[in-house]
Amino acid sequence: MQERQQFTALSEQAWQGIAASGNRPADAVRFFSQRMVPRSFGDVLRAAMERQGMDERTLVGRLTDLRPGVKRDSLRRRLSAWLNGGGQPADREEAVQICFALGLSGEAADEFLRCGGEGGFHLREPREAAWRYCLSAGKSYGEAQALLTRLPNADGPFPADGEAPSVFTRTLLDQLAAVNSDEDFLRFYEENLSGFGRLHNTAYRYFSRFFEELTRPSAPCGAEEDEAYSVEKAVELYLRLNVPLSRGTKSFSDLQKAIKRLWPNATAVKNMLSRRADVSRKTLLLLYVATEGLDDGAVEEAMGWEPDSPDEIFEEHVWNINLMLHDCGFSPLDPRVPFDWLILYSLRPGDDEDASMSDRLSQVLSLLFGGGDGREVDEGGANPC
Amino acid sequence: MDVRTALPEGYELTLAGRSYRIAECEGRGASALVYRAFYEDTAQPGLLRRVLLKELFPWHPDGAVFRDESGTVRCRREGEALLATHRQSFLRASRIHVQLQSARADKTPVSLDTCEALGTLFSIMGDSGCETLDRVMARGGVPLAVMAAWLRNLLYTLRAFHEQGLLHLDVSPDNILLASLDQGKPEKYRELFLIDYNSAWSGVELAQRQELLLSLKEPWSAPELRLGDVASVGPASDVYSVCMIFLQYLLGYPPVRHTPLRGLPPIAGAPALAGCSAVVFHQVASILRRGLKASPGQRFQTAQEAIDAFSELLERLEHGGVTHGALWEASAARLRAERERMPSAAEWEELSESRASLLDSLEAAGSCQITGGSGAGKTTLLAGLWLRGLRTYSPARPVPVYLPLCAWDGTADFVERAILSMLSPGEGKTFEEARHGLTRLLDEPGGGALLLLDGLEEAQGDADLLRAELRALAALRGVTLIVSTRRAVRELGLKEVPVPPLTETEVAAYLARRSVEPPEGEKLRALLCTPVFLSVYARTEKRSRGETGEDEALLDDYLDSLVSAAGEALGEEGALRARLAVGMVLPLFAWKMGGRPSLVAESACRAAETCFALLPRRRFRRAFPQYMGRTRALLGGARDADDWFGLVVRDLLERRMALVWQDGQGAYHLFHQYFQPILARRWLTCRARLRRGTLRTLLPAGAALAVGIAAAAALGLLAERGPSAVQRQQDAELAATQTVYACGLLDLQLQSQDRLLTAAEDLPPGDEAAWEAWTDLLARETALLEAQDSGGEEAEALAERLSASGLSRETMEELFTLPDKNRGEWAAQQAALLRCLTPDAPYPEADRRSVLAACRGLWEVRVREGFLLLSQAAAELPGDSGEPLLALLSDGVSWRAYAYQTNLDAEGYARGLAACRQEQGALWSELAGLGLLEQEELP
Repeated sequence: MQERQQFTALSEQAWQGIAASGNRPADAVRFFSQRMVPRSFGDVLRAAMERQGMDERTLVGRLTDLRPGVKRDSLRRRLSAWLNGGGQPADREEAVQICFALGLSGEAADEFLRCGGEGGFHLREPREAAWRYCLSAGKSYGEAQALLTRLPNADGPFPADGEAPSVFTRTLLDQLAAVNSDEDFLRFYEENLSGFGRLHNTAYRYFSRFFEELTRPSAPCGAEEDEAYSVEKAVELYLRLNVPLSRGTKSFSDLQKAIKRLWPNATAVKNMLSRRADVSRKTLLLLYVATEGLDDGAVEEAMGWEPDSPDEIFEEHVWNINLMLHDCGFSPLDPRVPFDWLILYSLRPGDDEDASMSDRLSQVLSLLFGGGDGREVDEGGANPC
Repeated sequence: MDVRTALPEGYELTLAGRSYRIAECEGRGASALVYRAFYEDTAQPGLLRRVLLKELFPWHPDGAVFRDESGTVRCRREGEALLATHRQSFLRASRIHVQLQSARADKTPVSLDTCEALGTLFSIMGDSGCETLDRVMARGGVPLAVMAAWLRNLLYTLRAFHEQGLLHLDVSPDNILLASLDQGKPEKYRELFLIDYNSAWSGVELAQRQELLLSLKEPWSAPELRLGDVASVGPASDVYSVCMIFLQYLLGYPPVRHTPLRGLPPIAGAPALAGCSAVVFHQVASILRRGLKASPGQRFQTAQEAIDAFSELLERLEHGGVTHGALWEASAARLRAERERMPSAAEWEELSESRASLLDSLEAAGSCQITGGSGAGKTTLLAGLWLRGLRTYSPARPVPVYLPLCAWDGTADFVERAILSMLSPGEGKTFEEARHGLTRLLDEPGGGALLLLDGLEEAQGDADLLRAELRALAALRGVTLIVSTRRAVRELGLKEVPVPPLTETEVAAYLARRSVEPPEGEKLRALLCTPVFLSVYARTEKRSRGETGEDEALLDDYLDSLVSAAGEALGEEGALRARLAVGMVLPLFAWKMGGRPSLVAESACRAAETCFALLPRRRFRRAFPQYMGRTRALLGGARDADDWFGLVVRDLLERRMALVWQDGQGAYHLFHQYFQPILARRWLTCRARLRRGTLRTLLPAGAALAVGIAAAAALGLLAERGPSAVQRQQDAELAATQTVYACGLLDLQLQSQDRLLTAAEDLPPGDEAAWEAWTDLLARETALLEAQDSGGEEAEALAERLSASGLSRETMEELFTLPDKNRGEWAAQQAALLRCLTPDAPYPEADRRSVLAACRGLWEVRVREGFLLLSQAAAELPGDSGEPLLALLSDGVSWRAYAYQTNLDAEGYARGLAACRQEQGALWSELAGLGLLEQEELP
């Protein structure tokens, strides 16, 4: 499988953990809490530094040049902390500065941002498009900032994103590939001015399709006939999955925090629906799980096809999800990212053929957060983390 | 916007010293422009040769690569990198083209040269008038079979490409050329070529190179290309593109992602699939399902695998081959034909639906023999399994194949040959290959066939060969064998599954759906537990309620449908014989059975012999003018009565129509005993007509006379001159017929009463179960008697009308009213029996015996009375008019014991009848004296 070849021994271990857990939530939780080595930003950064042949000192020096207002020691400590598995860049701009400091190409920077958990360049944002162009053209961060000053209305406000977006990041990427100079870029910018915005249109299209499936009556995996679910009810039914509602996370382990972070609630989903907020990767993945990738197996059954093996089903879901994430500009599934590991676990059918992906995810989350009553799984109910 | 300036028409371009004249710019790609051009033959100036010229001229969004005024391709600084990249790619593609041409010239467009000119590169290719697939698809109207053949041919080309160790990686409609085709040659032979090798890479190159120039074209590029997962790129990537073209063709537009992520693309409404069979649809869907998997490892791994899938689709479209899908198609086609042909086929589905659980259990039972009497629903069940199995196609489920065994020709391998006759071997395949293919198919576990073999008894001749074949079939791993038979055949080695009757609920639901009231008679209601009668009853009841008795109409409809079916199988002459068989031979059988459940073989042969002897007789033709001039057809080539028996009884009545069946002792039974009295009555009518035929034979001008009589009657002449001889003869015939009819009914009544009295005499006192059984018998016999209601004209009026018959009015009135009189008196006897025989009756055993003895006495007197009246009437009737009465006396069950007493004179009859009256009076007094009947209940 393609993903396995991309990652390291730790990733391989994570993959094996998914396979070994079968559909036994307790085993999954045990692996997850005892043997899982989450991928940190530092891991991604170290790999990039190795590829670029850059040591810590050089990188700190370059970052200091990019950020004259920040003390060198402070940057050194931050870099050291990242490389030791602690924390991540404070914001998007800092992550992009690291790309410039590392001297990454546009494509490599895109990959770096995806794997680092930030998501690839969102080219419908002028700032992101300019960064990507400058990285591809081998320009410095300073030149990128200078170019940005030449862009009218680079920070918006942008035209409101309507219900049916028509300009997509990948369309812009194709155009941006032909940009070879600042003048080209400025022309590209002017030509696409009306299409810029902050929100991911492709992700929104996927999101709408999924959510419609959950709330539309008579949909294969959604609401019962003659009943359309409200957003609140759909979120409660399909997306909460035994994750605690409380805001406080003090008692949570790092893994629990990583999982619960930005878990979509009804308000967030409403904002996404109304395009007041961008569709998050986490929400998209949860919706995929809830809708089983918009496939309830009815076609297979009607056609009398032999069902695919659990391995085949799993593999096909992984490919589909990665294609979806790629279309949206999100990073692919990474078994060393805790949330992704859980998603991957839920994709693999187990002994219980009737159990849905949501069931599997919900059972593990129930054990992980200690909220389950122990009846849904074969053992335990206490918080193992 | 594409601002590239193409070379103008007529432009003279010199390449490697040869001058080419540009005809037109044919196409514009991202890296090149393609022209049609001509050059002159060297030896024969003026002879123009056609070529295609491909000019390296990459598109730059700002026009950084452009043509100057001299025609030279130039480049600004920002376009240099682009031009350099494309130049490398262009040269590389030329090399690949030549490599392919050397290896597979049959699958590659002709590449002649690559030259430098006008500051750029030109590739010279042969021009065979090809057209790109995207243009053809844009025009539309390509049938599915043609597109499937084209794509298979494209896959052959792709296979050749892969065999060279190369992957194309840019398979899309604009990169596919359709070769020209000879006039009249089928489209499926058109070759498709791949062009544009700019993205072509070998496996080695893919493994070694980090940076690859890969063309990404939505939606044809495979997921691994889109994700940049070079390690997963392989032949499956190219095949994905071919399958995507197939999907594009079906949808009518290039598909987009988003919906659905998984599952089947929305092809159900595709115009190209309109009217296609389920197997074709299934195969199309299977190709798309496998070919378009996101995971490369789950797709067709090679072009050959996809070729096989498209070949199977083409065979399904052409109805060829011996495969699971082909068998399904063939069986479905036969079912369609049967449904159009068989009037009852529409109801198969409904009846089988209502018996879904039974079908479920049959399907789960595996190979078996289902047993049940005629009309028990065996065929309906098999048909139900047939229908259900053909609703949707699945390669994992066995194909139901229905075969009636009456078609067995007495030779070996009948079932195998019957199945092969439904199939065609497929292109280039011999019958023997097809046969081997079928054997393989039937011996593969999973899928396979569900063989539904109907009517084992109907297989004529020595069925050992057939049974041996069935045993061999049942042993095959892919075969489930279900054989219907009236009685289990142990030699088959199959478990027996008796067909249960329809439940009352099922019958009620069926009738309710048709707004048909259930019959009132218990007997008839019980009859409806067999599907065939239920179906026929519902139709009959709806059509002719009130016109005929329920059971009569039911029988007529059933017999009509059998005659029609026989006609369809045997032709018009067969239908004629079938009609005679059910109209005359069968009634004679029933009549000869009397009250017995069967007819010994000897009697059956004699009955058939009687009919056979009648066929060439003039009175037969006069009685049944519909057979006039058809004697030869009725004989059906039979040389003697035995031959004819085989033809009409064994073949038609027994095997084909299943109206009679033979038990282990060789005796014949009716298909359902319920209809015996009705059929027996029909024989009486039949015989009466034959008698009339005799009369007409005696009076050659009978028809003219009849007209004359009618005219005379109209003029009032007959009244003045008294009845003529003709009138007397006719009245005598009618009187005899009516007497036979009345006494035939009486005979049946007396038989029924005899059965009841015999059972009552054996009834142990106080035995609840035995009492219940007797009351059941009573209900059935009562229903039987109700069905025999004579109806018709009042006896008095009839006697008045037949005053010229020679019979006294008193005799006639007594005879004609005898069945009604007997029915009334029996009702009183029955009331007495019910009161004294019930287990909790307060009467002593002696009283029970007295009642039974009185009833038996009354029965015996009635029998004697009937005999005397019949004999008297026979004696009174003129000439041989009384012959039918004598025949009734000899054949009637009730009077056999008196047959030797036919030599009485008129006084003897009178004395005998008087004695009867006296005895009856005494017996009724005795019965009344027991205090079981009210005064008003006494006759």
